[in-house]
Amino acid sequence: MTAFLLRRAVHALTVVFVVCTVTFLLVHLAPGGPAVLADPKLTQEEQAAISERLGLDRPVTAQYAMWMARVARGDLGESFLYEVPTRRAIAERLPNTVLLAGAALTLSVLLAVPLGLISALRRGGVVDRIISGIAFLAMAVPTFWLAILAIFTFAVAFPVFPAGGATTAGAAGGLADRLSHLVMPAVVLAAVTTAELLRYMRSSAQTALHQPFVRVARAKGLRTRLVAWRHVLRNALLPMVTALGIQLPRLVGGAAITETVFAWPGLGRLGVQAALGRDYPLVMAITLFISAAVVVVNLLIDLLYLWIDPRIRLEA
Amino acid sequence: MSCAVRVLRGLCVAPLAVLVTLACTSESGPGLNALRIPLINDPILNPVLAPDIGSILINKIIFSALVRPDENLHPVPDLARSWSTSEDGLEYTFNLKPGVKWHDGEPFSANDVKFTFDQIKDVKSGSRLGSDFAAVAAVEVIDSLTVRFRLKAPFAPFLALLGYNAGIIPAHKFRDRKLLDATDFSRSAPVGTGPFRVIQAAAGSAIVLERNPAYHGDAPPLDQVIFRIVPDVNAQVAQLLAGELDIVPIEPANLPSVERASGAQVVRNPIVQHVYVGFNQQRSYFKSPLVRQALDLAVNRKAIIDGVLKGAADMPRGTIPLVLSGFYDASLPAPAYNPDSARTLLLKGGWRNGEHLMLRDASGKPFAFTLLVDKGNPTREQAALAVQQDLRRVGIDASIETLEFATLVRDRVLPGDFDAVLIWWTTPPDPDQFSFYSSGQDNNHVRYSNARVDSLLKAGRATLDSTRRRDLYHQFQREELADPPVLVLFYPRELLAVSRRVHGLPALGLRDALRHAERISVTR
Repeated sequence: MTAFLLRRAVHALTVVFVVCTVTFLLVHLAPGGPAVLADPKLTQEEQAAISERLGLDRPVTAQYAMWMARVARGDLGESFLYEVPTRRAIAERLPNTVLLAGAALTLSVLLAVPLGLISALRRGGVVDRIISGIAFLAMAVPTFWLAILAIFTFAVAFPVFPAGGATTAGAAGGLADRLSHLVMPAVVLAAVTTAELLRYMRSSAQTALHQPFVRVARAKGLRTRLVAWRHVLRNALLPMVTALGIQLPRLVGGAAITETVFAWPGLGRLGVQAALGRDYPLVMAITLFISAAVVVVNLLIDLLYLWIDPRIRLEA
Repeated sequence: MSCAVRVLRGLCVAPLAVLVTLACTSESGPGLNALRIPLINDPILNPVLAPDIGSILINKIIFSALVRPDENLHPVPDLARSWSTSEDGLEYTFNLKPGVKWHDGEPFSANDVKFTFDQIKDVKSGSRLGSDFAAVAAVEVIDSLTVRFRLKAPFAPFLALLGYNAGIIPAHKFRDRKLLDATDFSRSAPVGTGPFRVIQAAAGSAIVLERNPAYHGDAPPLDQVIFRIVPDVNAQVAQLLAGELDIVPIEPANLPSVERASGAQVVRNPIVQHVYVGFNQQRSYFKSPLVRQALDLAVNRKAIIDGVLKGAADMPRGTIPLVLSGFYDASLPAPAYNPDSARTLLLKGGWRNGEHLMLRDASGKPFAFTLLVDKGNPTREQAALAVQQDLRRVGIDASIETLEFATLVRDRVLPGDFDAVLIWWTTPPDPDQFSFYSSGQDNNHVRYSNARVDSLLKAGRATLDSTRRRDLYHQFQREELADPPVLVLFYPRELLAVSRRVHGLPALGLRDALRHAERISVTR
């Protein structure tokens, strides 16, 4: 176990290092520069002062070395755009991201698992076709369009939910206020995730249906419902754990469009704004954070397998 | 079957029950009478450091300045009660309002004014206002309510600039730290003297301001002003229509959806801005005034204003916008659209007809160049397309390159690495354009050089007598007809979608209107 963990830790560090190095080079090689320098009114003297203050007057290799040295000391630098430590910028947004991603993921799992199972059990039937049709539609519709449509339907035409934000600014708020703001972005964000998880679930349930133990259970004369819930579902859920692990980084970092349209103050939007504004320290801090999170989550999933499926061994 | 149906029913009913409960408990807005305005990003709450328009807007409400522009854009008292100018125009003495308190209760004094301008002048402080006040030599505290500015040379735009972005910041909050290190100040806990003070700042969400009970001017009728961070303009419009925002700057493309709505109206206030195509006059094509005159004749501005801007712009006569009525010469002829004359001028200037009537120079090289425009703004992208088509009609081959604004400015415009660029200047409410169009100035990105214009613009910023100053700018505009520095396309009007519950919004661009936030009210 210790050897396994050590090996994985080395792998994890390598992955994070490579991701950060590549990102550093990409953001510095991308055309344009920090938005703070893109003011046509700046005089040459002012440009030089800003460049010097931000360390942009040095060669990229020197900037990279400085960045690495600072990260080794636990300092992720200051954001160019917001003039605050990047760690603070991320910490401010993280709770919102966890809330939105958590809600979307919970919703997705609650919908995808039973619907995928039903689809598999009724393969080719009307129910399966309807469920699969809706799933494909959800995958095909662009998120920003779905989001705007949701806002115009449920906030403008039938004002049921607020059009954006995470809380009602200036009001006391409370749990109900927070939840009512969460519904639309969570549903929109969950749409694609649900559809994908549903497809996974459907195919893994189908695989399970054809396993010998299912045949044995049926031959024993167990009722279909019991076979479905006790034997098919349990075995079909195993590959879903991996699928969830794949969805997680996307929900954390890739929710930028949903977050932008719903004015949700999350990490994805912060990352996109940092990239557009060429806020190098913030882009790097977010990259480091998300890549580390992905690596850790994957490691946890591998360990989780040991626990939920006794057939799996580390050495295997 | 029964199993599947039961599962499905459970799936549908449970979330629906939750949703209905939530919908019934959700509030539509704050209970107070609040004005809600969108920003696209978290602002920096310090007027000296503010790098973007959003920060500038909110800082105008938090931080009073010495003066502010009235509805005719003339400077009127704000923190300064009155002022006097020395004979030679080199000294301005301001008498400050007595009894003014900072939001934290500390008294405001002349020391704060001196501190603010010392920071502005210090290029190492992170100040973004240094070039505005390059003419200031020193600021002296005469007594706690009197402050004197000493200028290096007479500088007529001085008062307009004082009322533009130069909000006064409190010296006592920066006693032992630099402006850039005071992140709590510039992110969540700014202290100003304006009509509203920040009570809550949630990163990425909203900044909530409440009425400043100790405000030095008239008591504002609003309880709160809330700046909500909404990055997407379509989402901003949706929030306005949903009654969650009150004032939203929009693009012409958003006009139909706002005009259809009953709860909002569109106001079109002129702003101090000119949108233009700048030709890099280090390129041999554009050196000759004759060519720039011809380009001026070749573009159908009316079609752009009506078609692309849906009428939300005024026809330009030179680079001084119409809204500066005291200096703008309305007696000049409106620019003509005449492709035939444009062609004649170009042929006279040595260009020849080539294949398909495209122009070529004596050596046979075609008249072709690249026009840069910033990516993502449909109005400017369409205007660039219209210019391209108009130029093709007179035989000039312009190809369009779209770049992100930051890239366009930093990599192309500032280093002078471009042929032509569609861009704009937003200026303080003053006709001074010395830094844009005088030879060798930092902001003269098109490298325009005209000795007569140099002397007119130099005299214009140094002349305090308003009649003589007006004459100088009228002459400047006339000179621009003969030797256009840039091809001015239009003077845009700011399109604001305003909720019908908003009253008392001054008829100014939002930037200047917010200096009068204490006049705005809303019906609940």
